[in-house]
Amino acid sequence: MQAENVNGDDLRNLDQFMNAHLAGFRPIAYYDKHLDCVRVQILDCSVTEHRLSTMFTILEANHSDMPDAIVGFTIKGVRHLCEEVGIDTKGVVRLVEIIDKIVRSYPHEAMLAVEEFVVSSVDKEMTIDFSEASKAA
Amino acid sequence: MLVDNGSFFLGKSYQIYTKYMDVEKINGQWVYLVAAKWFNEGAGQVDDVQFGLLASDLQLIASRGFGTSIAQFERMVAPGLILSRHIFKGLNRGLYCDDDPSGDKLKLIYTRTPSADYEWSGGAQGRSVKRNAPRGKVFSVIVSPNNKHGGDFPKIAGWVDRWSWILEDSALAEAPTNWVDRYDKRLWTRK
Repeated sequence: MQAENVNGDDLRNLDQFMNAHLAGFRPIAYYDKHLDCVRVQILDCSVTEHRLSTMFTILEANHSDMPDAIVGFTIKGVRHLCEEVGIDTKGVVRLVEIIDKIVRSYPHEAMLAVEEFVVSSVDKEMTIDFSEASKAA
Repeated sequence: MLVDNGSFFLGKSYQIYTKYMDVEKINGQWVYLVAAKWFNEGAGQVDDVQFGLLASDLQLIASRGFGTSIAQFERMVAPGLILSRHIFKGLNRGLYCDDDPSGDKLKLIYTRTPSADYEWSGGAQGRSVKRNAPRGKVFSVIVSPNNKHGGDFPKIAGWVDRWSWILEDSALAEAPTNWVDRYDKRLWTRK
């Protein structure tokens, strides 16, 4: 349903909004056009962002029974970064391709922490659709 | 960690939140309007303004299954942005935004320590769950000033981009850790 086709009361009532629009959560990688970053998250929960470097942020679950439960990460400044490592950001790109090229160009400690999370917890076929950003309002 | 349960936006609780947030159709697009403070750098004063979030952006978040982000928007961003303790400016990193390769310079960061946190549980027919605020952390909201779309949305001073928790600075209460390195400058702190 497009926002233009609903009325204001539907949007004000959270239960109605969730009923109509909330999809089942699945681990996801996507491009955030507002902050020019790739976000990868494997659990829908409240998170704390831990800044590893100007390029990487790790997401830690706030209310997990497990201490330091990492549930995702962010690659920041992605358009600059992808230009530098030769990745076309106009279509669909596999997450592991981005990680692989960044590891080769920036083999520092923060990148290795992200790579470790990808290897242990992320679907290797996960993709990022950069064109989706231009379709979103 | 669980404090209490309960759905919201029903009955009396609905009235509480309309004080801080409204939904309005502007130029054909539904927009959530949120009360906030704005630091006018030229005049050196703080004004009351409204920030916006397109309903279509919230629907995009919902389509990805991020119920917790939506619960936090409704319970923490909408009623809490006006209560922010600090406003910072500039993200200090490469950022393309609206085709501006220096988009990081304009971003505003609002931070505070709310008394509670919220998550969403149970899928589309679920409910919000109130939890204790994580200790030693601040809630941060990133905002883009409405520089490019002021003609279409004249009453909106900025757009809410993102909200999340960050570790708290050891020296400045209710500010993110290492805020001096993270941001270009601190614009305003509530007395």
